[in-house]
Amino acid sequence: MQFRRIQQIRRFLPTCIVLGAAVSQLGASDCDGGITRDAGFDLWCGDLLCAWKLERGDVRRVPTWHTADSGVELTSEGTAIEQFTPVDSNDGTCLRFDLISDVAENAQVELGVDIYGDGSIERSFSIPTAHWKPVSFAFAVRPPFTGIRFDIAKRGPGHAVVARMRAFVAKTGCEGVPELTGGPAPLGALCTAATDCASAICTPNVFTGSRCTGCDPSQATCGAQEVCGLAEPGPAERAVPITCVAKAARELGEQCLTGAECATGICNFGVCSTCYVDATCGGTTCSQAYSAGPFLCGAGAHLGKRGEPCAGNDDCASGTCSGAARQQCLDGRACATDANCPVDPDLKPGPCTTVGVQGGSCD
Amino acid sequence: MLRPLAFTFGLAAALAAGPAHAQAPEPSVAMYALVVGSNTGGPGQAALRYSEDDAHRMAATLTELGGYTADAVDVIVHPTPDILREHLGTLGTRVAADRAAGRQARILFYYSGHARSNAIDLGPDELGLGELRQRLFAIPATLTVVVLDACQSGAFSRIKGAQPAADFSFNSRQHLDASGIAVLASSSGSELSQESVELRSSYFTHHLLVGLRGAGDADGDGQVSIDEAYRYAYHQTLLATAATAVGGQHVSLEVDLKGHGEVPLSFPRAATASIELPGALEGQTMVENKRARTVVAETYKAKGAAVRIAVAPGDYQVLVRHAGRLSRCEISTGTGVATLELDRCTSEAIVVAANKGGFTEPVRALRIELTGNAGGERKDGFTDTLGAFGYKQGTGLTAGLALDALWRFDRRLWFGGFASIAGAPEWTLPTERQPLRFSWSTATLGAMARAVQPFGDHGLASRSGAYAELGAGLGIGSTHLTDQDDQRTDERFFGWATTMGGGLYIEGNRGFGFSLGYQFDYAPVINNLTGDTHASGGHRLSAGMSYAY
Repeated sequence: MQFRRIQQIRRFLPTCIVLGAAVSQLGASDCDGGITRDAGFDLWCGDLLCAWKLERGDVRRVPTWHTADSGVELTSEGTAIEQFTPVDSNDGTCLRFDLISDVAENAQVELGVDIYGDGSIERSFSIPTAHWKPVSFAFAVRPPFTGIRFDIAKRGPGHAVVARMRAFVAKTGCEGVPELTGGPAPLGALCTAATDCASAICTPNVFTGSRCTGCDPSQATCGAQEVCGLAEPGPAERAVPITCVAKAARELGEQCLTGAECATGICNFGVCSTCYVDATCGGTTCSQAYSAGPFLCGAGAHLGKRGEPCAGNDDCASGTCSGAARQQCLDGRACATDANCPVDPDLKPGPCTTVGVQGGSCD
Repeated sequence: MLRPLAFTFGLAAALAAGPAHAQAPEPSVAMYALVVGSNTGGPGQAALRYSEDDAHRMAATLTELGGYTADAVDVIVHPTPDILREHLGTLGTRVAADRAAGRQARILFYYSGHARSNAIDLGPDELGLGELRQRLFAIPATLTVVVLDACQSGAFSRIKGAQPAADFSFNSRQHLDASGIAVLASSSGSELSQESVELRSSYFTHHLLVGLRGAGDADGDGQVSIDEAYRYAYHQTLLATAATAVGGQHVSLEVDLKGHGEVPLSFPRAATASIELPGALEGQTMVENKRARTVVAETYKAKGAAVRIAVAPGDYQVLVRHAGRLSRCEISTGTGVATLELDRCTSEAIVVAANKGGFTEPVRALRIELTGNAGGERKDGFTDTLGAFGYKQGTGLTAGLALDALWRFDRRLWFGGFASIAGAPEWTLPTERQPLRFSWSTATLGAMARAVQPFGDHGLASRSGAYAELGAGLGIGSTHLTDQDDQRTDERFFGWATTMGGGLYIEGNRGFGFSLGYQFDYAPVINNLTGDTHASGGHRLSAGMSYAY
């Protein structure tokens, strides 16, 4: 009886753990409430800004009030830079941005706000012509929302330099300001009701807050060969989407919601594994191969025989575990680069590291 | 217009026989005085402070004690050479008229001012000593007395070729006559003549006048002869100047006289009022007119014979310093002789020496000060720009140090230079790497003037008081910005700077002092690329320590 109860708990835990890990990283503001990286345009990677993406045109590093304190000049006509910030409605709904600029009369600079970063600018703020004058705008976003893209674009041939573009969550300043609406929320975004979601499904979760999902895990709404589980990770600011996925398709080491998604049939702590407890391991222990990794019998003990599942070379008696390299973020989601991962408290994304082997077998 | 006062020169000679004979002269000799003072120096010469005042004092003494009437004493200050020539010509005309009328004539020429070895300097112009001598000696006076208080004034007689006296030991009794020429000069032909801030006079004229007031009456006959005046002025001037930076100043007397008999310069016994310093009195003695707050006489009174100082009727304070004690005596004079009563003087130990009145306490004329200050930094467009770019000022105050060197121009006025440096609190701006850190300091080099008002004239009160100062000079601003990669960029700016302030000071009797005050600094020196200029400085509290010597 005790074994069965433990099994039930283990079956329930993965979702909690995965989404619990996600809530610890989703949503972002720094200690001062800042929600953008490199507010001063100080970080340059060669001729490009490190934390801002050049959409189009050219930029150049230029002095501002001091030769050693630089800003960014939007040099050619039509130049635009952008930065997606993972702020969400859990951080706050009143946002403000301050910047200081040197804009000539024959240039027009606008700052665009794109909720969800889906390409549609919900609101544009025109930065006035001025010689190093600070400007400040406040706007409110109707909750829930997840992620905002800031876009700074120049039109016209004139001189335009911006510096110290700091966006942050404000406690006041939005009283009476009409709220911006980002439209239907995509999968993995925060929601409060089904109507918030493009999928029309808002799945409640006590740990992460309700999220838009493509299916309801508590109901059998998927096709015969499908199961309601974790899809491939989307944008880092959102939770890994839940939707109908193929049954028993996830390899050892991949994230899962239930065992039905895994080829092994076992989803332990949100990862497709080979065991739940020691009792099933025939004298060896059921342990995790690496942080946020799969559970294996005799993990790291060099006990795996040829053809047996493994997550790393230490799991095999031969010392070699063959399979695809497993790259994942700290929260366990699969990734290819740091940018695929949620940000840390300093708003830096990542890291995306290789932790072992996905779906491996011992040589 | 000069009007001669004639009196019997023979009576003057008779007066020399004893004190009982020092009485009003009989009018048979015309007496004139031409008294000249000029503070203004020639090219490259600093202005004198007391020459013109000395001329007025000399004229007053001659009128009061020398037997001259006020209208026989011609006082001219700050003259040009032509004006002096004109007055000499007028004097010559008057004397010639007297001689034509069968009267003997005696003239006294006094000059106080700048001079070189071959000329006296009258502002930008000069009058050659040769010409001056020629014009003076062309006046057909029976007796010509020349008193020169000027640098290298001893050179005047060399031109004439008179025989110089051998210091104070010269016994002019053997050579003086009632006719001829006598030249009393404040210094030798190669020396500088000096002024005293404490005496508010030149050393020579001050002591000569004190001698004429009676302190120089060595034989007690009630009159002061030129020989006695010379001896007194020689001793006292040499004593007073021996400790100065310039060095001892030797009064010279050179004569070309015929006949025998003394030449009296003053008759203190015939004065309306006088103060008698009793024979028992001994010590450095100063007589101060309480109403005018001026030093009438300052001399060393030896024990033995009494000394009479001729004064105007009034209230006086006599200070006597001897054997580590200071005696204060109050005395009032009407007509006649008022004798100082030592029993009625108060006496106190000399704890703190007073500088006033020419006591031997050295004047501390140079002062070095080290001052610390702190206060808030001024807010302006420059700091507003820093704030607009997101920088935040750190806690703390702008703090600085200043080193001042001051020279005492007057009891209440000091001039000098200063060097100071002050550092402002750091401004920081967080970034994803190192925070940007910006700071600046301002150094200033300049000149300054300080006015002081002591709380009193004696003791600690004279060495404490209030001050106000103003300075200006070159400001050098240095800025330092350390960027997110820990790279430091230094910049330097130059401009003008000024400072002003005031406060209280106190100085010990060994020259060490302390001050506490307020100052306001202003140095618009530091610029940024957006066109703002920061005026470094602001309101400061200052505390300093000093040493004067």
